[in-house]
Amino acid sequence: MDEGTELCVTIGQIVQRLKGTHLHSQIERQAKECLHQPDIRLESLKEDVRSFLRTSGEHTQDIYLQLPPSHPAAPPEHLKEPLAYMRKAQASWEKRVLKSLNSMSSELGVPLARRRPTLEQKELTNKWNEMGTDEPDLSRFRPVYAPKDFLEVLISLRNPNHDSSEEVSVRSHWGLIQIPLNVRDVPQLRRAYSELNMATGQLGIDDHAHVHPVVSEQDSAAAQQYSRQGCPTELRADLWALILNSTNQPQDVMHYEQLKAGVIQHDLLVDNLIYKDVKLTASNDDYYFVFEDFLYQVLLCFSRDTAVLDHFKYNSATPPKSYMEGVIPFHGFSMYVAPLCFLYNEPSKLYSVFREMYIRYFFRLHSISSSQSGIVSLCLQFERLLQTHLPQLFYHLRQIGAQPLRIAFKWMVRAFSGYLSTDQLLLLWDRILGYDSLEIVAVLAAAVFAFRSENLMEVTSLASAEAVLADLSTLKVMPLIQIFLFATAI
Amino acid sequence: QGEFGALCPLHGAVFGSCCDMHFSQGSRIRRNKIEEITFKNYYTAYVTVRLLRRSPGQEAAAKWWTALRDLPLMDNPHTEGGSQDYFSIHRTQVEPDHVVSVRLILRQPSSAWLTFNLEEIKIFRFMEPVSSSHSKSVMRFPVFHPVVPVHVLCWFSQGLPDPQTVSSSIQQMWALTEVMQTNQTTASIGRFDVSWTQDDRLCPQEVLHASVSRFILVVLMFSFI
Repeated sequence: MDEGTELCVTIGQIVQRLKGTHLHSQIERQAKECLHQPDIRLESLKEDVRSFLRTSGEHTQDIYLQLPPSHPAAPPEHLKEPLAYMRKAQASWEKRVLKSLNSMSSELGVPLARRRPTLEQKELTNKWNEMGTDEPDLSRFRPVYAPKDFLEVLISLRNPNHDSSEEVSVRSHWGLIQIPLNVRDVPQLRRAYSELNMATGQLGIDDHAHVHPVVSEQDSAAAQQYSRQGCPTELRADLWALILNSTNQPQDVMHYEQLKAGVIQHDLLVDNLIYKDVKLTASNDDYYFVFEDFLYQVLLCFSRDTAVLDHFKYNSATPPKSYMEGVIPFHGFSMYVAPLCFLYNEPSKLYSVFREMYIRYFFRLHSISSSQSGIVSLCLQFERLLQTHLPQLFYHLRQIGAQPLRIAFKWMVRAFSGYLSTDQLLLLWDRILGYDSLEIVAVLAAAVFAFRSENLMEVTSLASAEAVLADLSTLKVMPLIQIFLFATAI
Repeated sequence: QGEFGALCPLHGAVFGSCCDMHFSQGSRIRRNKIEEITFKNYYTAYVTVRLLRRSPGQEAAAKWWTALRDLPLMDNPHTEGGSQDYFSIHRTQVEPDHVVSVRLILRQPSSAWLTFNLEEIKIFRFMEPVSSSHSKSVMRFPVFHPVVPVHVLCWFSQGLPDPQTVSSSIQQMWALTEVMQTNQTTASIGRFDVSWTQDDRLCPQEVLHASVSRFILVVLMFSFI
């Protein structure tokens, strides 16, 4: 391997591992600024970088050692997901989803992709801003899968090397997830989420908790730290954009316009699924129905964005090869976008923030991986927290056939979008961004059970347990999390 | 960098297993310097590296020497972290010169796993640096990230935990003791006896088990009084 190729591979690996850290956004912003300086020429950029790396070898090595460890002998698929059986499970799940999509295509006689006739293109251009008024016949389409189907797959996950000879009753874990991943317990969570403790001011509990304008400094690390205690409503849009490094540059607007042109030219089968999903979820929601048109615009563009495919480099999933897009929406997918509509009213900005949120966090909620923010870890964490701190409740629910995860899974897979009231949901997402982890979602799910535990102890069936937990819109997120993490004796 | 180690299949016994790799006689002994050993872990919690070394110029018998003792490969022996990761042991961590034979001793204290071994073992020969070409040394990969699962131990190290703490997690301990009891194995431990009590990295299950017994004992004593 010559030096050039080796360097490319190394740089690729570094970028991949930096992706999603605030260091990455800062480097990217610096690079953007540097490009405008006159003494840097694009033609010699590659050579300059190479000579810099050569001269500053020692320094680079220091930085490199700070990164999470990865091994040069590890094959690419190992970097995506270290556990072989997880990779296998994800691959077979994808195969199943694709198969069902393909069979839908052949059953209904709808091609996966087709070019729109000119007349239709014109029509769509004219009603781009009011796509919600269109009422296509979608009765034949059904969502490819619902969270419930995905949960069944997660429940059936097994480690082939794990000793499962004992009866389930003597197993130390009563829950549905049987994968021995390492999840944090409450003392560890207390240390990790120390900014959420009772003594620290929290937006969402105290007003004027902390006012420190970090937006003007354009420091995404500071913004992230700030977000841990909640963002004030008027600053949230800017802070999130800063953390996610979605600066809405002219090229971002252009990229969005290109995607829009793609939507107008081609019609995908997936578009129908998006329409169907928006109609089924967001349009029926008291908070989000007003954003219906925005949702179509963003999601249709999203389905055609090749930049989204980049996240497959570090996701255990692989992109489907048979057609243009990469992400197959499931029932409730549009709820990832809906809350962001409260923050951004410009479609291109909304789009870039959503895309960043997706490739950093949300993809983990519907792919099988061993990541700490992955849905498998979240489910296990939820069950462990509940079993350790509310064993009686867990035992009771298990006895009446209402496994807690069966109720909580739908909340977690959507990161609570559509279940909490929007102000509370945004406060929760502040913390996801602030801690760069979805772990808090599992903590909140357990906290909700703890909060309703008295009522839950009296129920006698899954249906009545679900009824007790049907309406979460009155809950206040931060007090629940604080009480569960910091005010419960353990 | 030449690769001169052979792959060797390892099969896990109950607590430990070991693997010897001999270097072929053809290679001159004085040149048997090792740059790096890399391997892929498969559910091994700790690895010990022993080297059979012969001093140069002497006809004395080669001696076994422990180069690295109980290097943790998994964050916690009972959970997945590190269970299928790639690792390498670099010459700065051991002194791998004049090596005749390398022995890897693998240990897995957790009963959760059916088998454990190391895969894709590769040993790289050390080459004297030829020129000041920097390109190779720029990217020296971090070799180990030892994370000893001490959090569980700290909990019990100051005697008995307070009753409230125990009561909230007693069900888990109970389940663990059940698992321990049903898990009494008759398989032979093999040639490497593992005595956990002398090791400061106790297996959490054993600790929990001991602690539960102690707790029950205290309860019994109280009931007699």
